[in-house]
Amino acid sequence: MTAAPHDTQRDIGGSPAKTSPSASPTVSGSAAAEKDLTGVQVARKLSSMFLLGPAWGIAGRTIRGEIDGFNIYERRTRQNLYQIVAVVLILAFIAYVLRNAYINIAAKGIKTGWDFLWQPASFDIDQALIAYNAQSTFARAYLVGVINTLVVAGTGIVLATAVGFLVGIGRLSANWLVAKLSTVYVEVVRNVPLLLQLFVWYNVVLAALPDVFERGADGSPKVNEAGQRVAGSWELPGGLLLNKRGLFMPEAEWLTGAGLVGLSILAMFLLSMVLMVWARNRQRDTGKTFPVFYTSLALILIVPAVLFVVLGKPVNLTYPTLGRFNLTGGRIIPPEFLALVLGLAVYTSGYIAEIVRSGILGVSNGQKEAARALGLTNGQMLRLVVIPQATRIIVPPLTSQYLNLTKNSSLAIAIGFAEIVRIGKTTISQTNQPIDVVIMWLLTYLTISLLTSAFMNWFNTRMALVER
Amino acid sequence: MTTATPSPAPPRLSAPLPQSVETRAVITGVVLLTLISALFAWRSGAFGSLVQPKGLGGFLNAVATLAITFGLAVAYWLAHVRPYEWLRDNLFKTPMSAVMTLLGTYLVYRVTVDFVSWGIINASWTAVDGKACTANSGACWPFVGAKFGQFMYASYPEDQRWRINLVYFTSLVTFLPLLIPAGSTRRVLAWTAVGLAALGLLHSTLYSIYDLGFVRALFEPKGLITTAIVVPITMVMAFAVQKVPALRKPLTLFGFLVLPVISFFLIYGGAFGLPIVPTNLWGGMFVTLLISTVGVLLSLPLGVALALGRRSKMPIISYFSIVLIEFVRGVPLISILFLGSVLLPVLLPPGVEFDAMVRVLFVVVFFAAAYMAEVIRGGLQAIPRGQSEAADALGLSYFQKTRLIVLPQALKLVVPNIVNTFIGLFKDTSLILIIGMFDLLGIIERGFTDQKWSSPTTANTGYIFAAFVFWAFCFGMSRYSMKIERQLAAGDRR
Repeated sequence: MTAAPHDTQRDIGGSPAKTSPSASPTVSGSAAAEKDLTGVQVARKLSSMFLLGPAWGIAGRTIRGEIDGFNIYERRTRQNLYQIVAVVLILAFIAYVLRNAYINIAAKGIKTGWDFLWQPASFDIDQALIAYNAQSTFARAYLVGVINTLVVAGTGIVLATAVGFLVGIGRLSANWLVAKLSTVYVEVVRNVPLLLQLFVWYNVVLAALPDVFERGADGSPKVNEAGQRVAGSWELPGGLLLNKRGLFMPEAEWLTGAGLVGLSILAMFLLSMVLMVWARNRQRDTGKTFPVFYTSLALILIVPAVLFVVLGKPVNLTYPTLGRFNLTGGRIIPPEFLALVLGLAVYTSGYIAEIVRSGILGVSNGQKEAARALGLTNGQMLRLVVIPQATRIIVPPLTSQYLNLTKNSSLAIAIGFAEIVRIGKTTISQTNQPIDVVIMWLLTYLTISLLTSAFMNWFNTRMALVER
Repeated sequence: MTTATPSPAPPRLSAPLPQSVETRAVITGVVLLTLISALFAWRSGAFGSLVQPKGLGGFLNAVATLAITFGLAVAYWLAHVRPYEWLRDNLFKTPMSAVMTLLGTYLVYRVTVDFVSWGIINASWTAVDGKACTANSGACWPFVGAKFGQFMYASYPEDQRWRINLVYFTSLVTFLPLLIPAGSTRRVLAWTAVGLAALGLLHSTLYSIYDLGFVRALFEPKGLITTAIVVPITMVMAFAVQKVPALRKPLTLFGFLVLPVISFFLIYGGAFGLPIVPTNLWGGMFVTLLISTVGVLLSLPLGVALALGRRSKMPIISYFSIVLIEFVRGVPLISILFLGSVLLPVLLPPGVEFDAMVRVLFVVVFFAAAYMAEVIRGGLQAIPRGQSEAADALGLSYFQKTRLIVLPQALKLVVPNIVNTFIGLFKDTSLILIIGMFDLLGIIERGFTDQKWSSPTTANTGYIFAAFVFWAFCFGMSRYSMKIERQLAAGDRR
């Protein structure tokens, strides 16, 4: 029996219905046009097209997959059908939700609209890094929050990476005590909630800092023989003072000539990059190595310092001095910022330590054995063989930890640091426009996370190219 | 003359005990500690009255117990390990290593001394309110003891707390046997023995010093009867599941389908004649466990759907899934919580009000589903393509293939990651404090405002207690997930 020259899947239906005359729709259509059918006869015809099912109707032919262009037994057709249904459902859902939103907004009197951004905010932010007062707009307040978030995230990332790498490498140390202590650190830091850690940093650790003035047993400030109040802050090198109100730093006022010093730092950076390229080429050609790292470090540190001294120290430092009630002058880093950055850095460093450890362990043992066979010391092996290969394993999860740190900075609302969630909440309570503020939050965080993901994808692609 | 063949070795009733020296030392130490502390406790009359603090004599008892036991353990260790070589190789191999050892020892010494002096030596153990706690510069433990019920159940009516305890009990009996991997009969026995021994040790040692409220509660008649019921039933279930593997499937179905419904009615009320307890009275550890468990259980099916949708070949479905997943993963949980409490009432049909707890659960399930989807996607990617090709060759439909071939393997592969997600969710429940609901951390913070217990160290005590509870749970769960991961990887080791 030769196979009929039509789609074999149609035979699944089994019946030779293709040959029956009344199965084709055009026939019945023209049949209806030919004769003047009464209503009952039209009804009969219609029902035979759709309701009589398997033998004759359109429904039957659909089920048997005989209609050209719409064969339900082809996967492509089914997929298109599902997708059309899905789009319809999603659009219907969105329409329904928007309809509810319109009704509810009208009923509850919630305002929407972005005009509020240009109204003056009537609240003060004492941790603003740009000029801000109570008359600035809400938009500027939000900008202050964004800058604060980015500063916290940046500082936290640097600290967390430093500590995380140290602890991660420490976990693999040959010294039993160092390895165990690192393990204890990681296990404690990863298993306690971040919010609780922030509370402990803020309420327990930073509250144990000394007060501005030394206080006697009854709580009033101590007075020395000259009748002045005794300072109680901890003094750190560089003229920094640490106490309950924050970290006090000298305010720097740059005079003429300071720009030149800044330019020289930049110039030394560029020079060291040139040096790196030159040293690599020289090693490739002659095999001689050059201590690039120490040379560039010396260049960057020493030359600007010499220039600084030669130009007569063009900076005016205002140190914080003990006033009547507080230290005046100088810059303050508020304790909320300190608690937030330290808490975030410690929490994330636990995760980074695990990532670093798994990255270093992920470099195959053969590499380390080969390095040892070549006579490299432990330090050289780590620097030249293990870490470059471990970097490829470490960077993607490391980037997602950076993203987590940025997102976790939103917890600052619990300890009162003015980043976007806290400023947003104040805005909501002032303007009663919660929906818009929530949308602003979501957009901000989504932008940051999409930028980070884009960077990660670029880095992955670049590392893949470097391989071969 | 036939020589007698040696008789075959008698069949071993159990596998040999672990050989590592540290393990043996620990086991010996625990057993000896229990025996000796039981002896001391009996001598000091601990099993007689359960009320009086024992004073200096009891304290010396405890110290002597600990000293003798640790001394015995250390002596055992010294007899089997060559201490000089070990110290030289592990601590002092290079000058840098020696310096780090000295620094590390100093660090350990300082931290231990500070902690012990704050937590034990200078702590108040017998204070009746905050003013009495001020007398000592250390922790105020009676604060924790007095508010323990609050921390566990918050404002849930005291006479109805048995309902929550019943839910805990049924969940324990249902899920604990399922979580123990097969072939662990001997280990179940060993761990039960160790657990009971540790409980006995805790009682006799702590009790020799003072009777802490909740430790005493464990050994009051009510606590003893509860332990006497819970432990044997759990052990019997664990053994039953070990010996009869066919029990796993009905138990799983019961745990995922029937138990949630029963638990809901038990906790909320409204059926079987139980009075309704409104959700604004819920709080404390109970809410932490509730949110994380419900979050993980409900986010599993949703996460599977999202993961399958992301890997789908239909562009609309896959873009939609990707957008959902990346949106939820790109924003912090706080903003999504605010979204839920602020935006959700606006998006619902007018007149429909969702309970605050329901809104939080909704948001948490959504959030966990996105992370779960990524975890499950990792598992799906790890299944070789040959599996699904073979399924296609056998003529299975997409849903049959996914349900019968791909998903069981994928889910089994990612169990450790699912447990890690559960740990993360458990820690993240503390964020509901920011939208005004009380979990364990929130309830402890609320306890700080109680005037009766205010003292300089109340807050620190509360925070350290909370940190310890969270740490104990999360550390235990992470060890469990590491163990499962090692077991799953055992098949790949050569």
